[in-house]
Amino acid sequence: MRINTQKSFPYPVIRETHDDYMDEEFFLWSTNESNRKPKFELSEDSSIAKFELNYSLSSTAIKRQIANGNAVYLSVFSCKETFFHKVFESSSESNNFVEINLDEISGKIELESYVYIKNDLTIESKNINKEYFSDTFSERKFDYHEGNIIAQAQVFKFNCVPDIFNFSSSLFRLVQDDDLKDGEWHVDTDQDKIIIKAAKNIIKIEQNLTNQKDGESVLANSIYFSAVMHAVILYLDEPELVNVYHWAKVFEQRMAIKNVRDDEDAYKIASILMDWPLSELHHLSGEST
Amino acid sequence: MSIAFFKDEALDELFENIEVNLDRYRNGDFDDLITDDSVHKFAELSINQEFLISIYGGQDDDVDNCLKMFEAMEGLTPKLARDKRLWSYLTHTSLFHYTRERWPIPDDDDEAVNWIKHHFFITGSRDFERDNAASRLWWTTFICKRVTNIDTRKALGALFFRMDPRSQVLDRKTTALSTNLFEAVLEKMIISFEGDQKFLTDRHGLNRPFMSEVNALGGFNLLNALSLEQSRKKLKEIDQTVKFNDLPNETILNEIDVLEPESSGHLNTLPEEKTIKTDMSLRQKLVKFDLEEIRSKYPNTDENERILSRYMLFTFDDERPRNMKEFIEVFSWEDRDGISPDESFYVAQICKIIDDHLNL
Repeated sequence: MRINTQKSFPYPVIRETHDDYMDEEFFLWSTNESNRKPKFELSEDSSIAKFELNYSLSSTAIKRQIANGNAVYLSVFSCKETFFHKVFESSSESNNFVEINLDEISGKIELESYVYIKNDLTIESKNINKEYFSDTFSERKFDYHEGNIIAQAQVFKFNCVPDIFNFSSSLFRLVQDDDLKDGEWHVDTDQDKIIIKAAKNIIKIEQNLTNQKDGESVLANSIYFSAVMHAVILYLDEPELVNVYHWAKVFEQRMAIKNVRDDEDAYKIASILMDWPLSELHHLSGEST
Repeated sequence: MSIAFFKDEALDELFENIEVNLDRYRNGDFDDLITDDSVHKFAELSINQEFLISIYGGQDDDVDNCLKMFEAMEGLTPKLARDKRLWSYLTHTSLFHYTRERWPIPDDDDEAVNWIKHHFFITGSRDFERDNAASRLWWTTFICKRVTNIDTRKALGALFFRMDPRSQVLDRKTTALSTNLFEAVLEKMIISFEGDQKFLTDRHGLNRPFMSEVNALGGFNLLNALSLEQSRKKLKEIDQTVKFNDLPNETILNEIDVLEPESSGHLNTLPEEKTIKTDMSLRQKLVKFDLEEIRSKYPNTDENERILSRYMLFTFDDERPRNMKEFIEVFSWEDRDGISPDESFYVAQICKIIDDHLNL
């Protein structure tokens, strides 16, 4: 089922956008953070995303059914690009963890969460909207059947792009600009990719460095560090760029993964985003780490 | 052999120069143009070149080629397989001649450019499973292999039997994503494939209405959570409730017999027609063309795959596309994909008949 906020169900469903149930809510939340958004962490090698799912449901009548095994909390992780699909069920409100191998993902992971009916049941609640009943004085009861959903949380989409600052990837592009004099270069961020236009001699240097051991580290600490820092400044000045350019979305996502505060200085944010690139030069320093 | 991807610059350059390179696409190759500087190589993953170069042939070889492609790319992850640089590299190198053989390039230059964009490159998300000559083989196999209870060759046989039912399943991501439901649909397709084949061949009367109902099923049911048994049960319910179009699948040959002369103003309506905003002459011209040109050359095309089947004729007559661009706008991808490859070459001529007619 694709969540559609305009959809009318033939039975009352707790959801943010409708008042089928009055004063009831169902949402996911994150420990350590006050916001209503599930959290994920990347493994050290960035190959696994580990999600923490905490469900909050206000209805005691439904909670009772979950405790009795007639309903469950259910989350569906999916990636449309790769046909990835994983269903997670639990009767526990918190301490739910789901690991996803990022080799199976391209682009976004979508997370939909529900309270799902396992066995036919009846919910009696004074909070069911009276519009569902023709008679004002009738009991506020509703029958649900196996396969129905009784609560639906907000949908979340996550970008898990761990290797985005690998400069052979497609976020950055270095191109020769014959109008530039030797040594000159500039960064163009008015496109989905970050385009670094450089004079012919810079391009030659880049090609030589790419073919040398540690050459990429030198590049990361020079031209690419400057480009990232420049983009960070633009992003901090104008966060709405995420709605316009792909690179800004990547920066936003990467800052979220790295837990970077946006009140840090730009040089520091760039260093964190690039995993402290100066350290990569240790081979050139003649010392082993 | 290490797996290789085009560098972005190389891919962009090729894409921008399709028209310039048309002669290479038609008669030559890119061996001298694609050098080591054009690619990134990844030593961690290798391609079995022997399997790769054994891929050849046309539509009838799709199933075998799918299996070869999957063998050749053993270890490829879905994440890497979503990189258009990989597949475009293959269609311009090891699989260049296969791609040209499988998807013969049209004579018209504009058509050819569009054709090449889809079959040699990847321009959108759906091209991975549908159009790119190399990636469609891998992705279709990958999707079938998710269903561990069904022999992959059988699954591929049913999926590739007709293009339209295949699209109906793969393009409806909710169905394709829900592994159990997908397995149940696949079972149904295989039963049909091995039986009377009606579910797979009657695309407008049977397959599409059924798949629409499956899609609607997702409206209030959490398809992802259905077990295989529950999925089978749901499909049986749909089988019983779908109102099949049980009108006989009249052929256009029969239809022309009842066409009235143009001057009479009497319209021979199709079952789905509400109001026909046409005159008889265009319809007659199309039917005549179908009868004299297409059917005489291809008498055995499946009625559901004819370029001028009842449904297609109605839509041509109703929407009147005058050129390839308008044809693409008017007909959904599923409609276009469901046309027999032999007859798809008549599209330009049909559009010309319409254009000439409208210019009168």
